[in-house]
Amino acid sequence: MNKNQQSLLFVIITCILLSLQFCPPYDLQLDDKDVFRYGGMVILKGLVPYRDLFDHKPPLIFFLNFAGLAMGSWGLWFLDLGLALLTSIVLFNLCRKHRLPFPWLLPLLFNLMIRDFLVTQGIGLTREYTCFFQVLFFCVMLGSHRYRYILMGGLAALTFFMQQDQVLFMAPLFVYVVARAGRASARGRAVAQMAAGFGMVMLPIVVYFTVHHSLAEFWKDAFAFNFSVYTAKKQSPGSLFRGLKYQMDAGNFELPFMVATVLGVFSLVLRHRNKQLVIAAMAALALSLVQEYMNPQSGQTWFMYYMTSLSAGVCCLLWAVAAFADDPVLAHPKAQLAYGILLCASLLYTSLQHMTHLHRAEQDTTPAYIYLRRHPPGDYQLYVFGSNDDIHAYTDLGVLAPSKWIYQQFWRWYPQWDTDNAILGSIGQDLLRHRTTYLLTDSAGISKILRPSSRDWWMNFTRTWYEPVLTPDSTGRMLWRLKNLSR
Amino acid sequence: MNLSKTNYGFLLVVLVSLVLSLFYIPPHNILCGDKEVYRYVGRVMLEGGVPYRDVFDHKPPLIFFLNYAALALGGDWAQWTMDTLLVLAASGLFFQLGRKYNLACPWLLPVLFNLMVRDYAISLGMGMTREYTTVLFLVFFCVLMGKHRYRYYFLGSLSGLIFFMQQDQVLALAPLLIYSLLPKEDAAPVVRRILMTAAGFLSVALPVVLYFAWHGALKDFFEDAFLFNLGWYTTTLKESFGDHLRKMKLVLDEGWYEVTFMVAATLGVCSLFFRNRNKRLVLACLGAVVLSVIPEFLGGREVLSNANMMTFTHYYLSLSASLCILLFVVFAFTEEPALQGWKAQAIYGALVLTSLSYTALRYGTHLPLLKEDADASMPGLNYLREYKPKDRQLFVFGNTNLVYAYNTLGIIGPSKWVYQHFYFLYDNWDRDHGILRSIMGDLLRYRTTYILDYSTSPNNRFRDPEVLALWQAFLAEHYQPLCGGDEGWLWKFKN
Repeated sequence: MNKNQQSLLFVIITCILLSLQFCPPYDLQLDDKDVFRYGGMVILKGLVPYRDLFDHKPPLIFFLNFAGLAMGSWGLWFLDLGLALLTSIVLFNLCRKHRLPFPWLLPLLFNLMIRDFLVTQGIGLTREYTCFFQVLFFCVMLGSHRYRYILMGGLAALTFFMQQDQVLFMAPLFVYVVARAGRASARGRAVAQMAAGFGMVMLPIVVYFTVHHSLAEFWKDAFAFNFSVYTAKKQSPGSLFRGLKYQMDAGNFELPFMVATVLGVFSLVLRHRNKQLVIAAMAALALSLVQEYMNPQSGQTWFMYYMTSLSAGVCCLLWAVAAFADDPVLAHPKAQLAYGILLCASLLYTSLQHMTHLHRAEQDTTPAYIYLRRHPPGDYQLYVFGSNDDIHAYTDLGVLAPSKWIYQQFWRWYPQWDTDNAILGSIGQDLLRHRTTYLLTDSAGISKILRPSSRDWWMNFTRTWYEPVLTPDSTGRMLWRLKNLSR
Repeated sequence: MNLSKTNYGFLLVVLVSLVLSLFYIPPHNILCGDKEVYRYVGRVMLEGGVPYRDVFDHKPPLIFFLNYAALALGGDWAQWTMDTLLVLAASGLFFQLGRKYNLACPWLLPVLFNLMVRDYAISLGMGMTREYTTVLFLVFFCVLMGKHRYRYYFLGSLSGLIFFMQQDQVLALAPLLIYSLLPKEDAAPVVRRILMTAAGFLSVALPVVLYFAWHGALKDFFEDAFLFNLGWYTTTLKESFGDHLRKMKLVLDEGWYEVTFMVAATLGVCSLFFRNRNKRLVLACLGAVVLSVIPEFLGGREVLSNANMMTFTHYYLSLSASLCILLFVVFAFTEEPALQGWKAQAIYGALVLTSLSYTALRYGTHLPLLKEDADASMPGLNYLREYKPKDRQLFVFGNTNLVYAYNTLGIIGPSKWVYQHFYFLYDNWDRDHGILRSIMGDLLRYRTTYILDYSTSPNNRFRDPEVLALWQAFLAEHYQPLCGGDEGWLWKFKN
């Protein structure tokens, strides 16, 4: 085995080990992932996202969960590991091709960042996948494959249909590529090929929703919604900055971000052979945090996973700095070794700590869940309201919800959301139409609904049609049963 | 005015140091129980009392003398001026040293030192013992690197000052002291250097010992300021070495020391393998960094429930000196192109300064007022401000922060036990309740009118439930509740 093969083996082993932290028995629970898994189950049962399930994410995450579920309980983890391995190997090859003194360093950093449990919340979130696509886009862009523009277009589309805002990361790189393509005709060809690549991903998606008569819902929920409701509430630049700083500190991303940014800025001043690429990579890094500027809830601890996007941005910028640096303070192997230690040490410690204290995900043992496991409901016979943490009940029990509104966060975020209680009314109608047997509610979650009229409407509906099966547990969760069934 | 580049650098250091010190002018200094105790002991001395004999604390005496001097010179603002001047002097010396060793940016490390020593999340404002030992530590290093003919005498004196300010901090000096005594580091004979250092140490130790001997309090001084710290105070309450590491990581993260620590440690370790003209000094400085955080590992001050909280952060303050010193040695003696010159120093400088500058800027634009502190504005204290009790007519129990009450009202307490934190730390503290009974005896002897009681505060947990029961029974028998809030209540003598 030569040195390069040993390095590659090291990258592969690290990637597998770090991924094993989040294999199914040890993955971290998060409501978003539960919704995605439910979306996969919806497709598996022949239904269609947006038409039969509301969420505002683009559709690829549902398709990916569908594929994972179809492959078995470890399916999604294997898909995830495959993507991580592919990305790491491609990045390693790029580093090797450009003769970086430590070609394993950036793939190692990428893996440490993308598997930082404090930030990523385990595997399965959209931003994790867009990070893979972004790094692959960057590697393909710097390669010389004859179909690279088509591949770039394809990767941009994969990113766009996984997590729209993350496609902005690619904008400065796109400008860089087109600017360097040469003559006008070559530029035009590059753009056309990228458009073709984009179309190759987009077309099957559009056709899928057209065939299932849900193109309008797809457009409204996955796109229009994100430009209206989701970006409605603004925050001050000061609080935004504080939030960013806090999240980077708490997530152990501060050092990688600081080192990458400082080296990026200094590359512009010191001797460097490709300053345009550095500028493009710096812009990409800034744009990878775009959701922080757009989302009303950013800056909060529970949105730490927004920082995941930095994994790609930091690695691409560091690559751009290291590959073309002429100044010894940037290019010298000893300089890069020191930066490498700075970049990885803290993240390595965090990973080591997490790996040695893995917690197996236990079955929920609250009275409501014990009851539901003893009396398993069928499709449409269970509805969860007020607690996003209980969305996993549907996938755990393998049942469909009676309403498409399983994700109810917006009642807690936006006072202008569902002002006429029309959505709540539709949920009520669905429950009565399906004669849904069980209702699992969370009093703490319901109390956080912003509009009192919505809260009252829901409580009134519950008391009119349902009766308690179990008294509230210590967490405030309560199981109800349809009244006329119990009589 | 015609200023050279060097003078601009010096001016920058002075300005930064002054501006950062202004964060903690008396109306904005941070309330902290330890500082209030020092101030209280200073006041006791001003009224003719003697530390340890008339008031208990386990700190060495210099902090009390410093507070006494500040009070004699005018109080809060005098201490602020002394503190600011000390930091300015250390920064100036450090700047001169950087210039002497031809550092590309001699202002960089003094600025970093100021940002770290004034980091509010770590330092808890001005006036902690570790702030002074940190400043003295930096001066020690500057003297060590200088060529003054009495430098060993000064090194000994500075060691004495540090030892009698905060004993454990003298450990960080050990590697540098050993380095200074290495045969090849100086032409003077080793024995002469040792004797000079010892003479310097004695010139500080002797007056201190004489003072206590003169006042017949040598035994109290020895027992409280030394024996206590080797016995009670080194009993660890944490579970494991891992807890200490986690705590350290937390404080470095949330105190904004992480980047500086990582940069200094990485460059320090790398310098041992890279080309460097003085690897022995690098090694000594790495040792000093490790030993400057030794209080965290000596235990005794921390309970497990605090392992995940930003408490006792001032234990890390000495890193502001040791990390700057390590970076100095790396840059001053490196022969690696990757570390030499202004470019490398600018890159690492940007890394270490950015986060701390942002923090300082944010804090500087949102300065809290001392009088708005939750403890300083508690209802019972507002009542006392109106009714102004006299000496020995107020006792504070269960909240060291409210030793502030004695100081702000300008009175002395009825008991020497103003510092009661050990009831919350050690299971065996005051096992026979002798101390508690002496407190109760003093209260009855002086017919103390008011008690600010925090014994039932949710933040307190007496390790020995019998102490709480005894105290509650005493309160119920002799005092009646007057006013209070969620945490503390003011009680008044019944008759």
